[in-house]
Amino acid sequence: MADNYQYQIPPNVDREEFMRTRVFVERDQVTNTTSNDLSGTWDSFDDRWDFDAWKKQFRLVINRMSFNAVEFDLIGVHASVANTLRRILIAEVPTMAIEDVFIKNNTSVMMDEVLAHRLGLIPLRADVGKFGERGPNDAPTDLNTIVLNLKVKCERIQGTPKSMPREQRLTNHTVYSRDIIWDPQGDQATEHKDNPIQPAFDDIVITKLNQGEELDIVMHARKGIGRDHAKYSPVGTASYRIMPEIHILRPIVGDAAHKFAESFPPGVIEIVKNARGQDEAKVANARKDTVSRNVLRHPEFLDAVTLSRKRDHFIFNVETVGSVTPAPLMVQAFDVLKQKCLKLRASLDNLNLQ
Amino acid sequence: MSAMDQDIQENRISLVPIDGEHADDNTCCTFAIQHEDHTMGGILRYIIGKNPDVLFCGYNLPHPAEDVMHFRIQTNGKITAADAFRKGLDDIVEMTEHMSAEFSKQAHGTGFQYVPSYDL
Repeated sequence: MADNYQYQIPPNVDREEFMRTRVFVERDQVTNTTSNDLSGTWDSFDDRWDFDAWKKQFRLVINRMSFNAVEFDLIGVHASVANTLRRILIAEVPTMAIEDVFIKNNTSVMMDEVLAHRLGLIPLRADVGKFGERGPNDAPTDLNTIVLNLKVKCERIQGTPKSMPREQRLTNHTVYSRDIIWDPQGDQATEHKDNPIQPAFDDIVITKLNQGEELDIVMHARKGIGRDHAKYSPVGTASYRIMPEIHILRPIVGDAAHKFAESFPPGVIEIVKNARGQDEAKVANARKDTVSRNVLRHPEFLDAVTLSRKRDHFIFNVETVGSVTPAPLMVQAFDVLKQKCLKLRASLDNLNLQ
Repeated sequence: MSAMDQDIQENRISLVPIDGEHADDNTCCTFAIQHEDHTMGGILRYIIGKNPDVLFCGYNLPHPAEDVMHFRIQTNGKITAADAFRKGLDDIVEMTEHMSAEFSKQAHGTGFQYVPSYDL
């Protein structure tokens, strides 16, 4: 391994700004990662908190959205803000999930507790804002509990021979989440008229039954957060990556340009014809780079490229589990963060310090 | 679920006393916050650290089995530690409200591509 590798800050950028705002991606390590944002760190740059200055450079750009996922860019915030948002999405946004399972009859081969565990993990589509928390000593009311029923019996279709496969011989051979029926209590029927409560997906397999087996189950769902149990987490995954950057330090032409382009994922580097008619490598879209640092494996490119990441540009990818759609979920996540701060403020005031 | 109980919600901060010659006064103290972890600790540390009158701020979770976060603030005397804490919380609320408004504005706008589904 050549030991003359030295990370070079690109010559055409402001050196101190580069050190302050970028993470250095070197051949064997990632450096300059520590937080340097505390007030007073830099001589030439006033780092104190100024909301108006922050607001001017903050940007939130939604890249794309689907029925169950959203990809957006958060630009101009610190890593701790992005991390807090991520943690809140995973663990602190409340949803409804089945908590109490009253099994009146279960003659299937699946044990009661395993079945109850599976029922708890089914995402429910319900308007969480209309429900309150139910503590361990609270009685169930229509404002804190959803009642759901599951009553399925597997029977033989008359006249089918035993040699036929189960799917054709039996009714209800598989219990799906669509078999869970909501039983509206009190005012729930009118409150949730526009948005009836049901499992988020119809085709989740709960269990399988054989001839004569049946399930007769009543379930109570309540509000909870992911911190308590993962079944309450509204996201399948919420993650972010930090925007990569590629600086080409010297012209890369000809065959080397093609090799350079191939060391990156497709779409990151494009080949253009330069003034002298040669193929030259240019950065097309650094966002597509997965930062595998594959290019730094080639000795001829060690001095040709500087890889870095922009510290304050986060590419979020949030995939929901089905109980909430992505746009209201993000709004709820911001609201949870705000409420946590307000509640801490109330606690601080109750402490009665000067 | 007891963390959700209203009563406990509003009395979650106490002071961790440090005796001796470097006893805490109102310009430096360690707050013990129940039922909080890195989710609030990280962002608070960042925002309170941005205050030029704060000389030191940091947090830790003393033991994973206890749901407590210790947050220490030391100021230069011009403001009290509690004031720095309050300002930090207000700053986070202000920042969050702006981020939420931006997101809602973008979500109702047309600057992005709505697809039926996409591969992550």
